[in-house]
Amino acid sequence: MERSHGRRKRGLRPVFELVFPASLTSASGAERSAEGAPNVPDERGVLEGGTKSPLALAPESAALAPAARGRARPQARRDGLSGAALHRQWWVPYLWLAPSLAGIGVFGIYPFVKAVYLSFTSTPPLGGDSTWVGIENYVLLAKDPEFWLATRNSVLYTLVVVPLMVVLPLLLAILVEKRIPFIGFFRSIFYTPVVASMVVVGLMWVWLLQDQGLINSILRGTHLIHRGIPFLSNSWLLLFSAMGLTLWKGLGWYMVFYLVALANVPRELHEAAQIDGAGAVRRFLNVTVPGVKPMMLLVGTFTAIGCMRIFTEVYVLSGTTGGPGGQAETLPFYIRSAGLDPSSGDAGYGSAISVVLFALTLGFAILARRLARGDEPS
Amino acid sequence: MRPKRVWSGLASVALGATMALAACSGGTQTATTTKVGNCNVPSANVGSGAISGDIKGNITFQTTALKDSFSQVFNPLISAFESQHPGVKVNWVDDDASGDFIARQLTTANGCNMPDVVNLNPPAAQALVNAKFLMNFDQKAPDIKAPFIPGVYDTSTIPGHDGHYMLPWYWAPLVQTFNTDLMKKAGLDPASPPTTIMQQLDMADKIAKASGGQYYAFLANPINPNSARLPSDWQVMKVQILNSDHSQFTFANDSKALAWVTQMAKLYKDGAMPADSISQDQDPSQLYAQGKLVWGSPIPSFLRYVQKNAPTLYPITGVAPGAWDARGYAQFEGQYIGVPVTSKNPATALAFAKFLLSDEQQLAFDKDPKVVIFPSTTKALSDPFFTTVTGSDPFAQARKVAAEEAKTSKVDNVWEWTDAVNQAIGKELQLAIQGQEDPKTALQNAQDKANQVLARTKNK
Repeated sequence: MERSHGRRKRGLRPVFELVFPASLTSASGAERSAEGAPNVPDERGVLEGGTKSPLALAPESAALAPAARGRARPQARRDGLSGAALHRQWWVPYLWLAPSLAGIGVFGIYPFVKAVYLSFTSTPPLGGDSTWVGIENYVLLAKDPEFWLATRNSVLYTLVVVPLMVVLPLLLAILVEKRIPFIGFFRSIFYTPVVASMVVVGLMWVWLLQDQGLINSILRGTHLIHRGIPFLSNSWLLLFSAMGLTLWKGLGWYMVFYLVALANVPRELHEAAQIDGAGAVRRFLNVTVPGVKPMMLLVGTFTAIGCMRIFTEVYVLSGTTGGPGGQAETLPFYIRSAGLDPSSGDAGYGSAISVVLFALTLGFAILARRLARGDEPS
Repeated sequence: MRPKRVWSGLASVALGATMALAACSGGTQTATTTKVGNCNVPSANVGSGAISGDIKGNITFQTTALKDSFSQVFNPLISAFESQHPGVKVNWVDDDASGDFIARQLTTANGCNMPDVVNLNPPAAQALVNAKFLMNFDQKAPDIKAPFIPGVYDTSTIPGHDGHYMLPWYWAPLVQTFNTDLMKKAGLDPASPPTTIMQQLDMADKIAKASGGQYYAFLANPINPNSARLPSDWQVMKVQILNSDHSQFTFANDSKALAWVTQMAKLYKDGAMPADSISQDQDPSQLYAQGKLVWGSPIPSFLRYVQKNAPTLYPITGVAPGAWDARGYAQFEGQYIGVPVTSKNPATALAFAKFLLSDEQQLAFDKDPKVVIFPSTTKALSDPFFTTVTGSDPFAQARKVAAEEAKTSKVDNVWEWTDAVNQAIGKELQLAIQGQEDPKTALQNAQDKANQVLARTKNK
């Protein structure tokens, strides 16, 4: 605790105090009274305990210390000073942050808080009076087989797609990293699905996978099968087909991430490992993978979040019911039908499913972070 | 000086924006407005009393999936109206009808952004009337009903709501279209198409046995909106879909519904339908144009698609009246016009609706060579264009068949069969048709789920 407190002081104070010089005084005052002794910077700007005062670290800020600030600003204006001096006003950082904060507040925090509130109500999906129902929506959820089916599908989707999405783009990036003729062409080809619309790509996959589609026609033509493989009518195959579509569309995107990460792995390490007799596989496992591990965790986290929100792939491949009997529907699919149907939907129930979805997504994100922390050197 | 000007300029912009936002937020509710949903609407648009006032200002007219193909019809129509009423401007917009059409209309209505004149199907009209967003013509324009076919206008009502909230527009009775060559290949007589649903299903069984997976009878998804199987099949078979007071679904107790599901499951197993059409909303037109489907779309205008995209199939496409089974008549499959209460220029909106639905303008649309549709007014329907059809090609045949059906057609909507009910029933029946669930159990599950949805809908 003591150490982390110290780290926080060292890490945050300079920025915080440069922005809020007045707060520095009061915060220091609180600490002083807590410690029972004054802790003001001496003439060299050094605090008790050896920590250098942030005022000393930032001479310009020291020049604008509270006492001088009141004089400096009008003086600056009188002198016709623009920009630099005025940008040190206490409220200027807030001004720059305001648009982003407003966006996050309006489109992120407010809808989230509203969704949590709605999950304890029964609310018509397109406006109208809400009725407070307490935890009834969550009790209903626990007994709702369609919810559990959708949860199983979403979790399965995540568990299958995340490992593949972490590994396959890395292998692809290693392949296209090589400097050989026409490699730019191949990089572009692999990246093409990223820029295509998911609906268009989904329809292409329908044409490929349907009973009379290209894949079944080839398999039938070569007498490998007699009847078509039910990619789009068997709920399991439908779900795995949707996973394949997600992977195919995401490969190029994450390949670019890995190309950046691979460029940062020192070539000397590979050369040293080669001199030590390490083969390609050993170099990949012991040099490349540790070098790109932070990126792998980032890709894993992004993919997990994306997989929990899968909707379009399943909708395009399976139709409006989410496959035969709705057996391939995912959580967002179920939120749409349970919460947003204009005649019988309940935004409260839909919000309760959304909150569970959020908790699951957060769980996967924390898991990824734990895995990352576990690999950090102590 | 420059920074000072910048900051004072910023402050002015912020102040102006705040004032503009305050003005937009509609905080100035006056005695002449009434709250409907989230919107303050002119009080004259709701309650009793006819709409009066000058025909002026700008209005928005929204059609459903018409702009791409019928601008040559609607642009002159709009120009004619604008020249009749100088100073009036009609902005024509189009909804492509994709995805959640009803939800989109309701969302627009709750956002107070409804067009002034809107083209609706019955479920969308019902949803908007339930939310109180459509004008009651009986009160706001009592003389508007005069030109319409009385039987059609009288039945253009919505259960639970007195009055008329939608005006009938163009419509087309459904017909049977089929590939006569494939019928012959399957040992069927194209001159004797089915007249009942079970006859059609029996024919499909013969097609499955003869085709060996090379072609199919029709698509499998019972709730595919492009095939119009349910609830239409059950309606014409006179399945007891609901009880007498329409408070409960009762189809699971009807042996005709069980026979239908059982036969559909057998057909799917035998290969009479493409396996992957079980949950997809595929358009039968595409498979028909490839020569792999015996029955095409029941919408008469589908024949234009065949003529354009599969010209070799066009001459061998047969047309016959729909299999109207025990019911005996074709359903009025129509489009409607509504005037939302949110209109700022209701007199202009009503005048435009009357103009759009006038005999002259309806005939101009109906005579477009791309479609087989009929007008909703008595005088226009008696035009020789509909009574003396010449030619013997499939399109002319479709006109003759549809004109004959139009004489006895009635509005026959199952209003309780909402989109959510459709999904609940469809999911269970998909499992039964695939053989994953026993037909009787699936029907009972479908009925239970449909009743749960119905209860939720009625509680709202």
